Amino acid sequence: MKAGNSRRRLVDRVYDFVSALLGSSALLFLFMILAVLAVFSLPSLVVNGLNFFTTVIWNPGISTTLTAVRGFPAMSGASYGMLVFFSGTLISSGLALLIGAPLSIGVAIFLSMIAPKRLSASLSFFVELLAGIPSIVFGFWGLLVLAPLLVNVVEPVMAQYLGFIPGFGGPVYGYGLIASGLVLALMIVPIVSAISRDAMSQTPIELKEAAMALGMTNWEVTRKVVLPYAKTAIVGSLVLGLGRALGETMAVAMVSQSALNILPMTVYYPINTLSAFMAVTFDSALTDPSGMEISSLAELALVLFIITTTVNIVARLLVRRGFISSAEHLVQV
Amino acid sequence: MMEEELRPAPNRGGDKETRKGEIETMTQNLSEERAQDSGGLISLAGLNAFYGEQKVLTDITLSIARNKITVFMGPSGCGKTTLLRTINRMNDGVRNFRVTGQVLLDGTDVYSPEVDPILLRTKVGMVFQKPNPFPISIYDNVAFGPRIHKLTKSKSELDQVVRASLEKAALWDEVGTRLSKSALELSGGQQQRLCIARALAVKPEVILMDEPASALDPGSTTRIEELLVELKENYTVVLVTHNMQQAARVGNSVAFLYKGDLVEFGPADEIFQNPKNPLTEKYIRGVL
Repeated sequence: MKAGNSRRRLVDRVYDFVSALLGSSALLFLFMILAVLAVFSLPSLVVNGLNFFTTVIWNPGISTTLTAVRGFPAMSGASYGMLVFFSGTLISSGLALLIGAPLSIGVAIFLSMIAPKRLSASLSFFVELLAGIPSIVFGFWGLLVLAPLLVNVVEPVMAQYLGFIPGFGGPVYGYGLIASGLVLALMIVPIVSAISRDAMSQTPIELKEAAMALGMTNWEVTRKVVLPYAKTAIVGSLVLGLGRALGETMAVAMVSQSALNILPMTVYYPINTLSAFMAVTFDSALTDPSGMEISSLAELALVLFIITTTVNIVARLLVRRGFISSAEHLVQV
Repeated sequence: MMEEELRPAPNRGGDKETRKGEIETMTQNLSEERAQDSGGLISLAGLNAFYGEQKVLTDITLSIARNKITVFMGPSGCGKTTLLRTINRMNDGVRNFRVTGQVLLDGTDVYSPEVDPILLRTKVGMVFQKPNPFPISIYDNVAFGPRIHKLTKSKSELDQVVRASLEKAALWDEVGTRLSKSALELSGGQQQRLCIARALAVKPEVILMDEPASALDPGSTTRIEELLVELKENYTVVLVTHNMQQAARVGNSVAFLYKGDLVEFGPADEIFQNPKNPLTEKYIRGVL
């Protein structure tokens, strides 16, 4: 009996240890990734310094002449700056949010407030299916359908009639900022609308009936009661969508026309993003004998990692607070 | 007062009902006349209500007098709340819900196509079982309706409406100095009186109350009941309750409903002291 018991205790201890290990592995991975990025970016951090954040030009230099800069090898004429990719990431994601937010909230309002239950359930299913489509498929659609449509029809018309607005005039390239923003907008619709819909559906029926009984139309109930109620969670879902847009790679790589060494001056310009540039450049960067280009790419990855992690943390806090405050309200009533 | 012409089939429930509707109309004419004789503000005539195939109200005919408290009383599931909600069409959005028969407010069938349910609800206010103030300030709660319906022209006019409504709801003395505080900081009883003030601010003629005190403590209940009696000076009150003592304390007329049927309707004294129907008598004795 005794021996059996101590064996059981041992097994139990192993069980505790293993599950604790597995449970904390996510945190472990997070720090491992951060550590790897930091180590690989070190040469770039030292050599490029603060210039990295303010320089437009990305040029690996001439491979025949290696020099040493602050103890690290680099090619002469090399210049590494993230400004094109950083600004392209922010602008395209901002545009995605600008287009995607009204679309997603519209979807959420329809699903939670207007559509009959059965229609709402089946439509929700399709909206969530959209989230599972690989981004390269979105990219293909953008490449084959959206971008040609933009370059042939939409953008010339925009340039003609909105040309008086700064940033909306000038020549049209087709692939670039607008195409990227639109593809990204579609990609964030599923997650934003799903969370917003859930938050709006949680509005207590008592509050909706109170508004109805005061003679409010459905639209007024939505605008005055449901949207304020779900506000925090909706904002959180938008930030979560922003996080997704910031990190999106393939779809943008396919429709952004991979701008290099040039900042967008109009909405028709080609752009590039941190992730898309990394995806199309890492192959050639590996051939850089000084290793400086791969290190600079690692620094881009580090920047992207910090941005998206921060955005995701903010988003999750907001969404959770939104749902918790709903719950608290329910208790108080 | 005949309404334009009698609609051949007060039929909102599909073709099946049409023929039956014609027959119902004939009997309805009689009951309508009877109802209108008594000079009621609201007349229910041959009212049936359905959730899908399930009939929850059967041939309800009664008249609700102006400036009186009319009580719908009965056990859970008797249809009293459904009956109340037909008066301001609160069940319009409920799937598969439909009514046949008439709900006349001042002689107009509230279910006729010309009637806008939004306007109807400004004339017929409602207070719910659970206090349901909006999670905003006390002031904004009361100002909610007047703002939406643009009832006031200036801030000072709105201030007056808010104050008057809170006074009528016997809440001003308690909250007059902290109107900008959240409504959720109030006690349950205060929240319910705030909901009454919110309904009054839209200047309704009728106030429907769906068990307004059932979620409150005895002290708050007494205050609400006192308030109801005050309110009938200026409003027509329809009260749903399963609390017989409450019905007896505040009701002028009492309708006893059981399983969707109107068992008995009459002056409160008669219902409680001399019930004609054995079912009513059983309910009052507490043995139903």
